[in-house]
Amino acid sequence: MSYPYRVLAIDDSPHFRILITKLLRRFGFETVETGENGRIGLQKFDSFQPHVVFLDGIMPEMDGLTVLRSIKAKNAVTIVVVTSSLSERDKVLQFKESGADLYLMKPFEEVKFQEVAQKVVNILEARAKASV
Amino acid sequence: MTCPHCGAENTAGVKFCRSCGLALENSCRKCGHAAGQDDRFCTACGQPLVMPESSPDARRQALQTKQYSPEEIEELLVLRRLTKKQEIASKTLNQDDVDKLFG
Repeated sequence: MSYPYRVLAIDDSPHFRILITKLLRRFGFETVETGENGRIGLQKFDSFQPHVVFLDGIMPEMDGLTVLRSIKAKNAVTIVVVTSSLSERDKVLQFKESGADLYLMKPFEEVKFQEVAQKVVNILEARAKASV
Repeated sequence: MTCPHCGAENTAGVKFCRSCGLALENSCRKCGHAAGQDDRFCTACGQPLVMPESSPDARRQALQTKQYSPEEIEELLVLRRLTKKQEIASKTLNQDDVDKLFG
């Protein structure tokens, strides 16, 4: 099964960008773009207009929280999945309060990634049905 | 009788200091046998009666017998609330906790 949703993955690790692209394609997301930092990620967000963003929580230059707030200010309905090793409750809460829809802790198992990807699909399909 | 903790003078035979509340009657914590003020060990069961000042028991007893002013109590409560808040904020979450948080 393939989904018609555009996905942008913003992460400073080239290995992670390769991994997440592979996983997304494996679970049916064929239109995937990546950005290696917050600035480039936001540029790609403007040009690519993704339905979903997988966003690294910790990045040099512009951290994930700043990027998240910019994305939500540009388009609040974009689904943002934060992928981060940050596990302190107050840090995680900051992402939630800034509009993150889901939070996937690194490192993660493939089965967990699949679960999150399915949640994203469920949200997008529910929205599509509601708008009909 | 002079209170060994605060120095207040108490009438003979009282069980607790009238000024700081320290227990003045010396008895064995283990068997309850009455002991003299200078006894170091219980003459009935051999339990040590004198606790080193740094022992947890001594510290606990000192805290229990200390009299706090309303301002000190308020200060302690504020500190306790702040500590609790900090503990919660810095708590490390796992993926299950995060899933619950995000619903």
